[in-house]
Amino acid sequence: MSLGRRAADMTVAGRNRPETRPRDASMSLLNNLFSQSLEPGYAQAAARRRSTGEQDGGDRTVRSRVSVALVIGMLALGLLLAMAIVQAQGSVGVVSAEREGLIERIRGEEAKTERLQDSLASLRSEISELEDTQLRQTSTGQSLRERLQLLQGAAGTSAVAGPGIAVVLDDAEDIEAAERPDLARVLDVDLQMVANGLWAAGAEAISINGERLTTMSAIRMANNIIHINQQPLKPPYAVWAIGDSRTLPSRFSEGPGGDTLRVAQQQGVRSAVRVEEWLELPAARSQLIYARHAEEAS
Amino acid sequence: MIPALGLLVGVIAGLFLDVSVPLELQPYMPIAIVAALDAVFGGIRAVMEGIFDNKVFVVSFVANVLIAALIVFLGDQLGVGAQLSTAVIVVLGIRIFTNVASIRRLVFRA
Repeated sequence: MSLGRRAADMTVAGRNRPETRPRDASMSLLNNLFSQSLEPGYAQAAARRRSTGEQDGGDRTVRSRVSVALVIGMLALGLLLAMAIVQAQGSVGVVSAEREGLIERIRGEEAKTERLQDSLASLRSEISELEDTQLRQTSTGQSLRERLQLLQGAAGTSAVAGPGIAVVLDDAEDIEAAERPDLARVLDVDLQMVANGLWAAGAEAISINGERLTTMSAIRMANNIIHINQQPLKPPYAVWAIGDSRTLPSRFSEGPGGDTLRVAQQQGVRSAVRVEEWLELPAARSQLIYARHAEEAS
Repeated sequence: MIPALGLLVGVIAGLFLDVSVPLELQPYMPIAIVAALDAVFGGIRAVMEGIFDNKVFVVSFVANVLIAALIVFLGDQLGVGAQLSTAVIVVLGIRIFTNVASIRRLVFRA
């Protein structure tokens, strides 16, 4: 009955004065949480004790038993806490030890790769030396050797030297202060266009920071680092090109490479073109593994 | 005072006995601890208000821990374990906070 009346009251109030609705009605969940934060069971048990008429004596037994249950509860809580702490610290140690182990393994593998690459390079130079001495012994070998050297120079698999130009590119001095910080760096596109412009201007061999460009070279950016022949490079980028040192600079500047440099300069990228009397370009490390000479393979 | 000693003894025992929790139960440890904290602070508040009851305390302690762990377990099976444990933490956290606040009021009368 009282419920029905209250409901009627509410509808009447709702129709006439909507503002009587409690302001925090939408927060009843939170209110409930706050008002019932103590287990309602405690109040109920206390009321039951009072109604059954347990007076002074009952109260005392309750008091004396208070500690036992609570102490056991506290003990359990302390045990749980300590276990959780021990476990959390243990797992931290395990994780960091695992990471350390992985880092060590990576370092070891890197050192191994470096060693193997070094030995590969020395073995290759040994092979070419042996080839050289073998070919030098006969007259047909002599002519073959000259042809081979020419072809290797063109393919980029042997070191070459000669006159040419050096194009040096570097990031803007203060990248963050630039209008477009992403364009104030030397991008892979810039190096691609410069290399392309040098080939177009008549370069016969190109290397960038000691990485010889071959028919298999890729100039690409990964994680903001330019990789050439899968090797990461650091700025400044020195692009060396062997060719006619009299015509190369002007033809380069008029071609797509010069345009790229001028556009990049507007964004703050620093660049310089120098004529060099003598440049020594190293051999590329690239080697054919899968591709075979068609006649030989069949 | 004696309950506080119990807590201390529990912590020391846990640290020195080196009890390891089974791997399958490890995700439920933090939730179980929060639930136990809630029951313990509720009990302390009841003691201070003079309405403590052994049965209510023991039942609320065990049930809190088990239900909290069960909810998280169920959530893990349904793929909403993180959200459900957040819900449990929020509810129990509010209760703990309110109970500690009223304990504080009873202790300092302020």
